Amino acid sequence: MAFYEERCRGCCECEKACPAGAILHNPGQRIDHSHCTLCGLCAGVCTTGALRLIGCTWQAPKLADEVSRDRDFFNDSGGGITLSGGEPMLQSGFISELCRLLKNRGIHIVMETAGHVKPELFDKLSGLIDIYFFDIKHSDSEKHRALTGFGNDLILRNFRRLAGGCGSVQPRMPVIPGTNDDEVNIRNTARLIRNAGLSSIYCLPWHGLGNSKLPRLNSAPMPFESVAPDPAMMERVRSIFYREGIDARICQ
Amino acid sequence: MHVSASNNAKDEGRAPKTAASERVIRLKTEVMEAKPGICPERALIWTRYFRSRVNRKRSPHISIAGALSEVLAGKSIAIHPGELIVGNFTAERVGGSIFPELHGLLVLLDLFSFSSRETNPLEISGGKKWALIKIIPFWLFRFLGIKVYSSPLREARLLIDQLKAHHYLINETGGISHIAPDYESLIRMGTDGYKIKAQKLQAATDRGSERWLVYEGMITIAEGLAHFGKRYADLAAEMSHREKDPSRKAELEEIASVCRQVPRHAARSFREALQSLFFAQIALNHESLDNSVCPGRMDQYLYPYYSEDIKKGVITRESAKELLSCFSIKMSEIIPVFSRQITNFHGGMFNGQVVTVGGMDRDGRDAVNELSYIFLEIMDELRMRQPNYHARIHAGANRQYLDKIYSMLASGSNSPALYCDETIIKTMTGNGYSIEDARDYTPVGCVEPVCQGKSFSSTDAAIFNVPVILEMALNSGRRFGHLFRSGPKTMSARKMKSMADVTAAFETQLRFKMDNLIADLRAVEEANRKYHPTPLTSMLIEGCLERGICSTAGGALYNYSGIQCVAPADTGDALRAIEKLVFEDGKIDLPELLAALKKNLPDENVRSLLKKTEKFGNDNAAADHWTRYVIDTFAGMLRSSGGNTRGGDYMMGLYSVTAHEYFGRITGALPNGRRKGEPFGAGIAPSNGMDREGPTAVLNSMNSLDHSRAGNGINFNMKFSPHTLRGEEGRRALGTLIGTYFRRGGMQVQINVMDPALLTDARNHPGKYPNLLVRVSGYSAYFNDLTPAMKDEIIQRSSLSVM
Repeated sequence: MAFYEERCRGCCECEKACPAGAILHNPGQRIDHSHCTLCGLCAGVCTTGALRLIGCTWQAPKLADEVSRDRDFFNDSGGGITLSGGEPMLQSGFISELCRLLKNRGIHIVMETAGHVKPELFDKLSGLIDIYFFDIKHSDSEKHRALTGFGNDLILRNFRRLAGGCGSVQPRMPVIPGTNDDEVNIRNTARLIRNAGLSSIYCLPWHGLGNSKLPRLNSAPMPFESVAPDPAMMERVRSIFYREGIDARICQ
Repeated sequence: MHVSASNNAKDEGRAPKTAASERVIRLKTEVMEAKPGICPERALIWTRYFRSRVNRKRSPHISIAGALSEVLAGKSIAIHPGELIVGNFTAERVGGSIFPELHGLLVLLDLFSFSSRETNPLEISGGKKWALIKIIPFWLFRFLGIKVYSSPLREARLLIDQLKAHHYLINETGGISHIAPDYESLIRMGTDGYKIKAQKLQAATDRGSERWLVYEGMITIAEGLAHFGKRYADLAAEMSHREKDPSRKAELEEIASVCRQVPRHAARSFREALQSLFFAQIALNHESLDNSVCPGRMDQYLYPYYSEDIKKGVITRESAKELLSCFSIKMSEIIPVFSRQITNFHGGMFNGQVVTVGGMDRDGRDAVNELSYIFLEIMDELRMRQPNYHARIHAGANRQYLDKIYSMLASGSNSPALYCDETIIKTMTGNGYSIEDARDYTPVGCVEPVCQGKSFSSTDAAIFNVPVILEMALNSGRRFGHLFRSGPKTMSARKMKSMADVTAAFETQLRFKMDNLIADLRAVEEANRKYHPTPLTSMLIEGCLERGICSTAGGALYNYSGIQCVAPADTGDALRAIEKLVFEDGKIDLPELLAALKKNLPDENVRSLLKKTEKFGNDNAAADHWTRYVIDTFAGMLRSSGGNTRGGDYMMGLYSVTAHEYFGRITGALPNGRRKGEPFGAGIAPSNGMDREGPTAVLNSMNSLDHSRAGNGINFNMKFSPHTLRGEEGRRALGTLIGTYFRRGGMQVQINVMDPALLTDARNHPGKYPNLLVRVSGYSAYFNDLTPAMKDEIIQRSSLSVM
């Protein structure tokens, strides 16, 4: 349940609609997330779109039909769909059903994943995903644990398995200044990629645009603060990869 | 390749390879910085001519040609420093003329407020104002609009209808124009060629007969136009004597030599060809409505002269480009002078002078040539208001040409607008054009396809307010809050039991208003034929000379008229809301809805219910069905209305210029949740802010319509933020979107890339840009959904990617 403060005009129709009494009289925060049951009734009566239920439920066949409406554009551009997240692998059952339907219609599928799931789950998708965009956030397991709460062993195991499998894997790395852009990490990451038999990486400069979503969702985690890398910093990263024999592409 | 003052291009006007030359930059700056003004010369000379009883007694075929010749002989002329192509539309550097015998009378009545009005202010000095005011009494009962009907009652009704313009506006009371003249023939044989032809044909007719008079008018104006060129030759010669700078002196001598040759004689070079057509361009803009006189496919008919001169070594690619740039800048020296009322419909100081590049030739082969590329470079470098540049695209178009266009658009040139040859040619042949003539189309005005040199299609004959018809249909023929009916009595909302009842009422009201419009329009066509024939236009449109019939009387080969269906999507969405909420879900009953509409939707809950119903533009079959219904009904009804008085059909156009805003202002609340006064969607665009599912969904909805029903053209705008289309990937994505849209039967699209200033405006006024899509990071979002901080971030990024 998300609240767009600047759209609210304070009519409080939502209060009448809410069965759980989760509407607050606080202009900065309308929803009491401890009481909210995500029923979405308030969003239904909100006339300005200030309250919105983010996300919705889809059945795989219906979603496949929806996606297929843009098939003409996919055919003409050589494009297709990208499964993103969150982590799509957390819904791997749904994903495999959806992908099977889409593959029957010849639609190209890319999946973005952080790779921190049981290896068997990837096996179920074998032959369905055309390209994995695989995140490698840090090469050092301990640092990875400090940053994300988990080590990277499982991730790297999945990475090597997928790279050796039939789908194509494209490693990606969020470049976060002061966190993972040191030369040692870049060289180690390059080695990981080389060892997996791959030769390129997409580098995504970190940005803070997600932080402004937090107050809307009232989610618990603290905003992550860093600085967005400038082109010179990204060029430095690219050149280190280059010296290690890895083609790095800077994605804006 | 943006315009930048290149300091190292100091040599005598020779342009560096890709950037505009110093001369071009100077001319552009002068024109851009000039304050637009009103030039009284045309009005005063025209009035002087017609004050003479002898002239008034002449046949209008002759008196119009005579008056126009006097204007061309008497208006002040100038050659500005550095100019290579010469000729001035008005006495102002950037200015417009007044046509007191057409729509100009209303303009004159507005004179006092011109410099102070908010939209399109215009400069005029006190003395000129006074001179103009003095001619009002003369024209008060002589202007075209007042001569349409002989019965004073019908005449009064027409004038009041026109002034209020609630249901429709007839533009033809201001003249017709909207042509792509046969400049190719003018360049090839000169005005003397036309004169000799007309004299020969005239000799075979009875003196004093209608045809004889038509020829006499053409002979008069052929001479008048030739003389206009000679005036510049004399001026240039005289200036060259006084000129101290040897290089400018040589240029002036060259100008004099060019103007001695054209437009009287055949052009011998690329430069003479261009100069010849520009003189005609000025003259045509003084004959009748100064709107949509379109040079059209210049890259085609100028190419033989270009390639010949290149072969002979007379010009280089650079010098040809400089000449075309000079021409292009000159086209921005004219503005229309509209009354406040007409400005509501045609805002933005737009003369609609179209130049088209690319497309097929008459045999269906790709016709892109070096001049097409030169024009593309010019539109990118100059980015000026006029001419209105269009590019034709077909399945066999060359890759390099497409890449050039898409990268220009992606970088924010906002020009050219794109046209799909396959769809348009199919539409035109379906309407009676020969396949060769259809392949030789150019849009005129805004988006209306006509055949170059062969059509006299009054493409902007009238603009029709469709949603107001629904207002009447729901209220048994009455506007909301009106005492009297403005249409026939149809079933009251209380009795309507199904959508069939609603559509029956809608169709009855539409038929009634359309019949009214067509009757008025035919009377106005007759008035144009009787009182304001157009000898120069007729000379330059194939068919008129050969048949000895004026273009206003149907002398041209093709004679369609266009009527614009404004706000089909708003109307369709309104019908869908009624279907869904009243007849499917039973959430509200029709009388209750009608009562709410009459009160302008005071209850937010009702309004939000209406707003939330499916809308056109989201790839939703139920919603798209109703917009299709409106368009098909409108087009079908027009088709069954019989032809115009020039022997052509009435055709539907799906564009609105700025009428969607004016009609929105005066039309009551609609069941799609729009309140009274809010603007409608522009052209065929989804109603404001209602396309929420992204560009592919809009295009899917667009492709669900049959574009070939819109013989008079479609305008479809897509807006992007610069960041969305950046880089090679952005350009490719744009190319694919357009390619797919066209392959599936799309007719036209215009790509607007919002500059950072516009984004800032969007931040400050969210309501103005409800559906602006911006690229955030790997994904796109609606601008209005971003937090203020994110909006600032996007604005900052966009400023970077434009530079």
